[in-house]
This record gives sequence, structure tokens and C-alpha cells, in this order.
Amino acid sequence: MRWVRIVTTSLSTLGLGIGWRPEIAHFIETRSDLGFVEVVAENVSAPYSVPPAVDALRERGIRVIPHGISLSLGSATPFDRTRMKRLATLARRLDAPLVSEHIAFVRGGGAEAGHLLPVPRTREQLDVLVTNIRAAQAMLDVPLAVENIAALFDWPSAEMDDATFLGELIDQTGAMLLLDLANVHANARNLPANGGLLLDQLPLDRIAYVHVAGGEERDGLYHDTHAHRTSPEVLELVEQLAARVDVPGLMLERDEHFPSDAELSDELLDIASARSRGAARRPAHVG
Amino acid sequence: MSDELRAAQAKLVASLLDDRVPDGFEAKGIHATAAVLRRKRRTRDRATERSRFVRVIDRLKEWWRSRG
Repeated sequence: MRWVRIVTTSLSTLGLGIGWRPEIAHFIETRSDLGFVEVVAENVSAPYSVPPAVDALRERGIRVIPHGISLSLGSATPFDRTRMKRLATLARRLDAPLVSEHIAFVRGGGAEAGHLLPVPRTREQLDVLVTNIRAAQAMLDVPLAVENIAALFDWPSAEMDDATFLGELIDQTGAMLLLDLANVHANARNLPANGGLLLDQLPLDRIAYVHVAGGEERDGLYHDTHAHRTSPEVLELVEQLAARVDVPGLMLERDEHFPSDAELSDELLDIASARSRGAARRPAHVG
Repeated sequence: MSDELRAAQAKLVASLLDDRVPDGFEAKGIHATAAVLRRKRRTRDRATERSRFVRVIDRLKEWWRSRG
């Protein structure tokens, strides 16, 4: 129990964060308001070749979270222990407070999709995810947070809606939730029939941290590009979430078309302001 | 692990890589995802080419330095 309390305490202080990318390393280095950064685990070529700039942030007390994109927790193939071992080693090397991955699969039939694909919302798939997440947790010294993804299509014959599927997964595994609000927005736009992730139906007490990012509409579909400014709709979701719960950590993901430092500063300010507006509306007895 | 689910996942990945719509799926989202996969593959290929080029340049630099 003591271990759980320590982890909870350290997560509650993550604060404002951003995805660390070489292109914005200097911008990140100059910020004094960041509590954490996230590194894409697969972009660190080996656990012992962490970019010096990331180590410099750690030395300043900024927490670093390894974020996996290729574990394929949803794959109905034997769990990849080699990839998992690397991720666990990287987490130790970074003294990370937790590790995150996606509720998705990225390969099948020996072929790599190279992209996070949605899983079918069935009992059978839920069992596969639970088995793989438990295997991952057994190899980690820190908690695992799992992230909801954005999808442009849905599997036919779903047995439950999005919120039920996610809730059961969190319940059965004890994993924490990396809630991506940009993905919530994207799926509400593209796949309204699957029920969406309504904030009131989510296990908000299991949130480890929150992602936001920008996207764009193309050919009638909303693409979560991480290459555009965070939209007012996503900021509204941040505000709604912060009005319900004390958001432990909130970070911006930007992967392409990096804007100027001034624009990026503005965007971070927008995100922090949305959280403050929501927090001001939160009843005093909540979180 | 379920053979049926494994086969369904494999079929979906193969279909996306070939830009084909598996039975029961909605075409618009599958084609859009297939386009994302193609774009990401191009980006990865370019990055691989770039790193190959960088390695060649590094070897040339080493060779130049070794000449004293």
C-alpha cells in the first residue's frame, strides 16, 4: 500500500508537459514551467543512448515518461517480451514514474502496419488485452498507463461501446489511463456510432496523465495529425475534464510542422488556461 | 490466444497494406487509414535513406581524418 501511495503522490505532481522531440529540444530546455516530458521509447535507439538533452532535463527535476508505440498490446499473437524488456530497462534508466502504451495493435500475420490500429470491442479481444497488459505489468517496476487511440474506421459487430470496453480493461488490469482528449474528439467526429468516450463514463480516478494535440479535417474525416494547433474543441474537453477531476498531468503532442517558439508557448498557455478555467469550476470537495 | 482473432487481425493488416476493404468494414475509413500507412512508410523510407547517407558521410570524414 505504501508503494501505491508513493506512486500516486509522484503522479499527482506531473503538471504541464510536452512530447520531447529533437526539433523542439531547445524550446523545451528554455521552459521553466514544465513538470514532465514524454519520449517515444522506440526513438531512443538503446536504453543507454538517451539524448543528453533529456538527461539534462532529468537533472533539473523534470520527469521523463517513456511512451511505447510498438508493443502491440492488442495483438492476438504471443506477447513480445524482448520489446517489453527494452521498455522496462529504459524506464529504469530514466527513473520514470510510469510507462505508457496504446490500446491498439500494430502488426498481424507477420506484417508491420507501422500505425496504431483499433481493436475490435469484443470479449475475446478484451481477454487478449488483459493477458498482454498483465504480462507487461509483471515486467515493469512502475505503473503502466494505457492510452485510447484515434481511429478512422471501426470493426464490425462490436459487443460493447467504447466507454464500457475501456472501463472493463482498466478494472481487470488495474492499469492507469493515459487519456488522449484529442483522440476522444477525433473518434466522436469520425465514429459517432460507437458511443464515444463520454467523460462521465470514464474511470477518471485512474488517469495518470492527459494528451492533447491538433488535427485537421480531410475528405470528411478528422485526422489526429499532431501537426496542427490544438483546437478549441479539444481545449473545451480539457476544461470539462478539469472541472470534474484534478488532472495529474497534461501534455501537448507535436510531431510535425513545428511552429515558432512563440506559437508553441501560446499553445501551452492555452492548454494550461483551459485546465485552470475547469479547475476553478470544480467543487471544492473533488480531487 | 484466439486463432480467429489472430486471423482477423492479420487479414486487416494485409488489407490495409494493399488498400483493400475487408468484408463488413466501411470503405471510407479503411482507404483513409491505408493512405496514412502509405504516408508513414514513405516518411520511414526517407529517414532510412537519410541515415544511410549520414553513415556514408561519417565514414568519409573518418577516412579523411585517418589521412592525417
